[in-house]
Amino acid sequence: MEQKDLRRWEWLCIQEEPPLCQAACPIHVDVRLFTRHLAAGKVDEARKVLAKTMPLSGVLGRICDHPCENACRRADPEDGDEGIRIGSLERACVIQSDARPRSLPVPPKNFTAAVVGGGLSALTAAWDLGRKGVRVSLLVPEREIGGVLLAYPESVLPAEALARELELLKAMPVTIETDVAIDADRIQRLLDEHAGVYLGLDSLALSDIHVDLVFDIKALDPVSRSTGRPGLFAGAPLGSTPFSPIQAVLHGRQAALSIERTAQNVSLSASREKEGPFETRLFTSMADVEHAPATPMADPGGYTPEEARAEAARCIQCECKECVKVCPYLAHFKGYPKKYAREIYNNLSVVHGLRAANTMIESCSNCGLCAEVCPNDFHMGTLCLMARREMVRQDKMPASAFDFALRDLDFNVSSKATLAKPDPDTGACEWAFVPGCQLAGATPELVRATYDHLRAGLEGGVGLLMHCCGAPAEWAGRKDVLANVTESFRALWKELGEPKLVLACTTCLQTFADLLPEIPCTSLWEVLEPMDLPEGAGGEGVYTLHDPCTSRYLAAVQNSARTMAGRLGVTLRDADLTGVNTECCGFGGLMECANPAMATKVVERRTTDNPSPFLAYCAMCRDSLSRQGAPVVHMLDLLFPGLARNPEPASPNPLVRSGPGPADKHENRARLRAQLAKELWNEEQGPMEKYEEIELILEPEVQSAVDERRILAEDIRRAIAHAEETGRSMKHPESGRFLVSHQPAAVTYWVEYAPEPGGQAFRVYRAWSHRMILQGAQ
Amino acid sequence: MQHFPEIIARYEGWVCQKCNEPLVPGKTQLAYLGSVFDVELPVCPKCGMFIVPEELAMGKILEVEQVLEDK
Ligand code: SF4
Ligand code: SF4
Ligand code: SF4
Ligand SMILES: [Zn+2]
Repeated sequence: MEQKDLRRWEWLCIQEEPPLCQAACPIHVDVRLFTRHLAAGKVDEARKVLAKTMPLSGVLGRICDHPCENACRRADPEDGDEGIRIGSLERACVIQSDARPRSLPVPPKNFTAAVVGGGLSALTAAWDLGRKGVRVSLLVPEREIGGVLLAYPESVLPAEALARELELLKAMPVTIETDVAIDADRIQRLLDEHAGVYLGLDSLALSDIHVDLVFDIKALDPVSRSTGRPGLFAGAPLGSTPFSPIQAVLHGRQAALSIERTAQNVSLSASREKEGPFETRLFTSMADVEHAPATPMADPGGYTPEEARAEAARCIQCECKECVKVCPYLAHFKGYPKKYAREIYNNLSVVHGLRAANTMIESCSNCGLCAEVCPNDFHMGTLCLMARREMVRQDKMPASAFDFALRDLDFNVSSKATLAKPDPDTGACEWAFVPGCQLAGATPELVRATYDHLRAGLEGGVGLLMHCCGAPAEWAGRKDVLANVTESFRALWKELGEPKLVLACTTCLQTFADLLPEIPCTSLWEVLEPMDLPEGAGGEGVYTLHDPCTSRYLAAVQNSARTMAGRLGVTLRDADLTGVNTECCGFGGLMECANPAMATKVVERRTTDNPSPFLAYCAMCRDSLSRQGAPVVHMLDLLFPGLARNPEPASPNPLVRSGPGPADKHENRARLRAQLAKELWNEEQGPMEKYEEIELILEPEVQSAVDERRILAEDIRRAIAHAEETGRSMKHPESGRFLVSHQPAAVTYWVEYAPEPGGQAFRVYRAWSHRMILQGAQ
Repeated sequence: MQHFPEIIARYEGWVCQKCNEPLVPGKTQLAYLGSVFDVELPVCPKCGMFIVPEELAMGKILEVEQVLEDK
């Protein structure tokens, strides 16, 4: 990942953009933080937030003409109600608290500045420069300091409030002279003595000074406040429009910065776009916001502390996080994609040290819901997949992350699980049914039933193609494996005479659309829709429909699934997130493989936010969603209710079952393949390998512990066969049990077992594994 | 060397099938991603075969594996 890629990803996520109020505020007060403190009753903290940005906060806080209020998200004419009364809140805050952070002494600067005027803008310029250690001569033409401020009634701006702020100003390296005679000569002398001079025109005595100095107040530079004469800046002219305190402050602030830049001899105009109001890119949804008008003010003089608290609490603390709201994975890491992009970038750049974002990179389900809800289509899945590929390239992908899925894939493309045959009756093959690894693994009997049904209903011969689509390799970042899988799939498809494929799995559909676009593919549901229903098909009741995340942009598939459900006699209710906004079941992207706890979280959310039972039309979704005990039925269960396994008559949902563990799926596929090859195509089975003949007996608790550890029946069989062959094992004479280990590849498996009296069967008591390699004893 | 006496104690009574020797605590070496660890485990005193107990494999060892993988 290049730095420029990071920048691009970061740019897409606008979560760190300022809220509308802050962007509209000419000096960018952190209103969101201010109202948060106020709403919590922390008036002193709120005051500090103001003082951080505002000069003379005790003055400006009382009189600011608050352009932020109109910009407030709540003031939006379309979906808002009333803007937060930010001006009144600031006023209440500075009246109710005098807490201001003490400005820390800073080293003196090597230049000086002169500020002319007694109004708010001159005071601001002096304040800003003085705070940075610039020695400032503040020359006030009038006897009293304040300029236009002196015209405010005592009830609005008490003299005391201004005096308090001037005290702070005097604590800075600012010398104040009053009653100073100002003319063109004096200004020239100031320009000679100082790095720069600012004229704050909101002093009545200065209203004609521009005539003497020959500059046009209408032509002042809007960003630097330059008069055109080097070193001379001016702002806050009094004119036809009413005096705007916040504009006066902005002008003083702009000029102060310009004087500093003049002293340092750097550009007056470079990167100053974010001074003054600007447009923010932040997006904030009002969807879940309860409407409420502004808090009324009992005394028109200002909010009481309680009123202020109530009004501040109306601030919705604008932010985006649309994606975080809908994705438990994104919420888990306590940030948002912009932050995550940086963490991922850092992770990929680590040479020595901890790769702190590995788990994040490995756990995303790549479901794309984030991109769907993001105003800028930020797709965390794409970012994570890219990072995974890079980790693989750097040889830094933790072996454990996707190991199980890749071993499963290996098996699913081996001769034990693959099958490509034309129609067994006619030998023709206009169509081929692709059940996908998950359906074959979870419910092999449904594969057979569906295949028979398709053969009966479609013209031109229906073949069968069992082979992995390659999605797990894509998810694991293994381009090399993916390329092999794709090629071998393509070869089988050609061998069958390039049939049209009928796919039971939308992940296969998505994968082929990307990688094998030349293959005509249709989803099983679209193909079934116009066909007659099989004998005995049908169900009843109300189900929450779960669209698989890989069907997100396949509206036709989703519609067919809905139509099918209707034809089958069940009533559907949409999930809270459905259709184009559907959620992943926790399996996608190999989330379940790399981070089972995360997948459980995802399932929990889906199944508690929506009423049971669920209807799925992806085998993986069905198994995944049911792992927390939620009742989930597969659409094919309704098509072939006679095949429902382990029906529980007492259950209100007789078709329900939880998914078989991975070990079973592995076995199921191999058995299905062998059975179909034999029954439909008279293919003789090759001789079984010795270990395959071993019969295992596992109590349910043992089975689920073994499944959770992702130890396959095959691993256990191999370990036992190995021990029986070599005689290398441990035994426990007292219990008659044996303990063996076997390391077929990277992982070492341990199995504790005992032969059942008389025969091939072995009872397994426990099994575990590790990756550490046994180096031997000394 | 790391010792886990309570865990080893649970594997008392196991015998090496080949040598017919009861296992005794002994020094073994485990390696992963370039790091080598000395651990005391139940070992056959004659042929050196040893057990990596379930409690260690799914506990301490798993933790160490994960830490090494994130480096
Ligand atoms: S939806 Fe998420 S990624 Fe998109 S801008 Fe908002 S916080 Fe950032
Ligand atoms: S709701 Fe709050 S954060 Fe959002 S714009 Fe208004 S004041 Fe600012
Ligand atoms: S799990 Fe889905 S919604 Fe969440 S980050 Fe990944 S792709 Fe986006
Ligand atoms: Zn021995």
